[in-house]
Amino acid sequence: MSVQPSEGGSVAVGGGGGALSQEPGGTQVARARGSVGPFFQRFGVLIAFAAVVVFFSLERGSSFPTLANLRAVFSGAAPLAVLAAVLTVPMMMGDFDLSVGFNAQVLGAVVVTLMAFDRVAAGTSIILTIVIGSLIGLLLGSLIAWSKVSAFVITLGAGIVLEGVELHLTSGNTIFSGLSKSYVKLAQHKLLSFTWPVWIALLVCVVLWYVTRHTVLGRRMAAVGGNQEAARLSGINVEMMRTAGFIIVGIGAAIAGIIITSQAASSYPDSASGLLIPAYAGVFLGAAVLRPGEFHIWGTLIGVMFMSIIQNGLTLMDYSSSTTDVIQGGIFIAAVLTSRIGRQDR
Amino acid sequence: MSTTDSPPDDTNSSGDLDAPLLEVRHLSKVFPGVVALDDVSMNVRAGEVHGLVGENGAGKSTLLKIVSGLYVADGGELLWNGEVVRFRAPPDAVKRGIELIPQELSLAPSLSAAENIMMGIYPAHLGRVRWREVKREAETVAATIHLEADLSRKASTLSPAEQRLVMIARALARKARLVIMDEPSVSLSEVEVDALKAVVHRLRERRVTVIYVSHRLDEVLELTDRVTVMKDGRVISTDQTSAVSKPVLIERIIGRSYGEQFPSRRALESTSPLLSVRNLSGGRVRDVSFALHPGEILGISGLVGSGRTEIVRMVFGADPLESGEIEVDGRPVKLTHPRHAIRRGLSLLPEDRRGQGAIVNMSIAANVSLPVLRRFAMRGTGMIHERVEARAVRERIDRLNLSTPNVQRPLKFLSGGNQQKALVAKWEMSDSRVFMFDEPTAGVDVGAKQEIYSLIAQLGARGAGVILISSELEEVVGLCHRVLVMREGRCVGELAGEAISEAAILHLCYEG
Repeated sequence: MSVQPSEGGSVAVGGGGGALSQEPGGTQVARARGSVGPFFQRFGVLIAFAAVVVFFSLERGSSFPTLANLRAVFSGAAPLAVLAAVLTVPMMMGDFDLSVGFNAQVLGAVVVTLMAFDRVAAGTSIILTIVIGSLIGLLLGSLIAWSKVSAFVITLGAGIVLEGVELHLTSGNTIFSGLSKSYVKLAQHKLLSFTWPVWIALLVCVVLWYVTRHTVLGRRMAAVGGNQEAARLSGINVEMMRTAGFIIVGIGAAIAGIIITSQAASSYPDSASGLLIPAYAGVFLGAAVLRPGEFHIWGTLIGVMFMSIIQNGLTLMDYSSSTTDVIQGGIFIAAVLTSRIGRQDR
Repeated sequence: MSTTDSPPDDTNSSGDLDAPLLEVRHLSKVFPGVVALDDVSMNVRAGEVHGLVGENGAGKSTLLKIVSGLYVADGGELLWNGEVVRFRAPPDAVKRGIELIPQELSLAPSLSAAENIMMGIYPAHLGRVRWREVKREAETVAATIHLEADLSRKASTLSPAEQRLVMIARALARKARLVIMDEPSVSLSEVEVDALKAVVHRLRERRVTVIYVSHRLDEVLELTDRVTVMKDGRVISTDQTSAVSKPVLIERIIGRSYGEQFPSRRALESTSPLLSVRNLSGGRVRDVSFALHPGEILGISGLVGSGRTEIVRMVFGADPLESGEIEVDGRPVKLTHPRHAIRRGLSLLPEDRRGQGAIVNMSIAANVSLPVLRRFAMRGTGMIHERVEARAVRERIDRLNLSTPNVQRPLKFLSGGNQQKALVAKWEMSDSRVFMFDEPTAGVDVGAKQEIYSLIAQLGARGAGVILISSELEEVVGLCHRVLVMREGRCVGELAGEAISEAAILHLCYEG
């Protein structure tokens, strides 16, 4: 199935792009500079983001704009950021992965049960989990790419399967005994005052940004996303590229599952399965930032941070979680709409 | 409703052709960075067929979009039947009987032809559509333009020509008084174009005014009463069509004198073939054999649907072949994916440039380097040396006279002709020696066509082999050393040298 955000900046005839293209040396070849749209399309979401930050800072001056709170927000958002970032890759090629929440859930259960029931060392468990994650991605991806059935449908089914597998592994229980201390510590180690998960998430984003922007693999994926048939006629193995996208999601789901279980020092039901919707909210917000109409990693990260900050601010203002949901969803829609101001559809 | 009687003509009871139905005065329209229309004045008389020609970017589309309410002009005025009108949105124009038939086929693919024709004006009773009336009225309209397809068929199952006629029927069903046809003959075969011409004649008989936009000047000269030339956002001239000739129009369109249209053909040395295809079958294609020699330009002619495109797609590994052998440089090859063909030095420039040839949202550089990206990557890591890549791309496109300030710009900002050049650069970069062009000049303006012709000739001069598929026989006759003629999937004849003529090709297409 094809999922492209509608394209913005259609009337930029050498106009707005000009200033940006002065950048020396001509790096970032794939980047379509001329396509950047007018101001609101590119910065609308960022302006909304800034407004929200200012609002919370004024409303909760003593608790919101503090380093401690920032640490908490970042640590809490880390697994979501990882999931949203990896989901961005198949989205660039028009592929949805609806199984990602359950995937992270299962892989979290896998890493925990390996340690708790099978007495496998923490390091080995982590490596095994990441390998299993990439194998799930390989299986799903090749099934989707070669069967030509839409990813939406296959990953929907896969999500149900994975949920069953997780129940089988954990019997629906919270598993907390038997975890090695070093595993639990993982999420608590700090570097430059932020916890490891924050840095891991950032690292995942940097790697994905580099791969999607500056490598042969990324360029080929962009080509598949831009026009599958033209990519194939240019000699690209489209099926392989799409499969690679799902392998990346599988690895990301493993990393997210590990972060979540390490942070919670346990594997508990529904710890990750609910992250699907917020992750996609981040991805779509990201497609309304800076390079409107395109899915890209930094946009996704900004989208995730935006959603997390809103949640955090509202919680600090003592809103119930039901109210938080309503406001969060409303702001999400408003932010995406902002990026449409001044846009000329043809 | 009924469409069998002529549309009302409230301005001239005498039926004289001179009163303008539509007049534009001093229209201007500016987009960021470009003046699309600059003080444009012209008129279209009631009942005439008015040709509108000019290069891509000359302002034709902008003018038509203003007339049909898609754009609002920055300055100037629009007169309909002598009255000043302001169109804020397309319905304002439709209400007055102005129907724009866009270049792209734009039917609802899963609805029937009849439903498409009657779309938006379904006869209904108490909110319930009367399907029998829909069908009957659609049939009445279709009959007026001799559209003979079964109207209960889904639009997606109709041929491009039939779809085009359905679009025209839709305009007529809405009692159009002015029908604007933007490149209606693109992707139609000769016979289908003849049918289209007949429809235009019939519209004229019924006193429906037509604005006919086309790059195919022969059609414009044959069909229109008057013709307007636009260039760089201005109207250059409006003449009685009978008073102008093709060379005159071309000179006005490109704004300079027009030399020999086709480059001279080079003599071929006898060498062993670059590519030979034996007993190729697959899809519609049955048992086709041919060889292509270095420097040779081989035409494949035939009606749309005769299997021309299928041949090159199979040779390129894009579609599976049922049987047959392909040899490159005398060595048998098995090509099951385009990447195998690319590695052997084959390339395909497909007909549908935007849909299959180019990735229009990617930069020029990324498009050009795509098949050989590895060459610019660090071994093992896949990191692309972007500066080296940009330099190499720049060098290639400079050699083809593709002028662009920046190879990082998205390909979509290039004109059709320049996009085609970029795609040639892409295959030259991958050291292609067999270039397969499928309708390389479709939707390309006159000036750019000439450049594409010389590009093709240059490829030949450098020893590459070229396969040229074109519905414009003139091109095939002007460029090719040899022509294969296809009918219903079979090769029904081969013409070489002096024997190549439009008449000979057409003869084979229909009867050979």
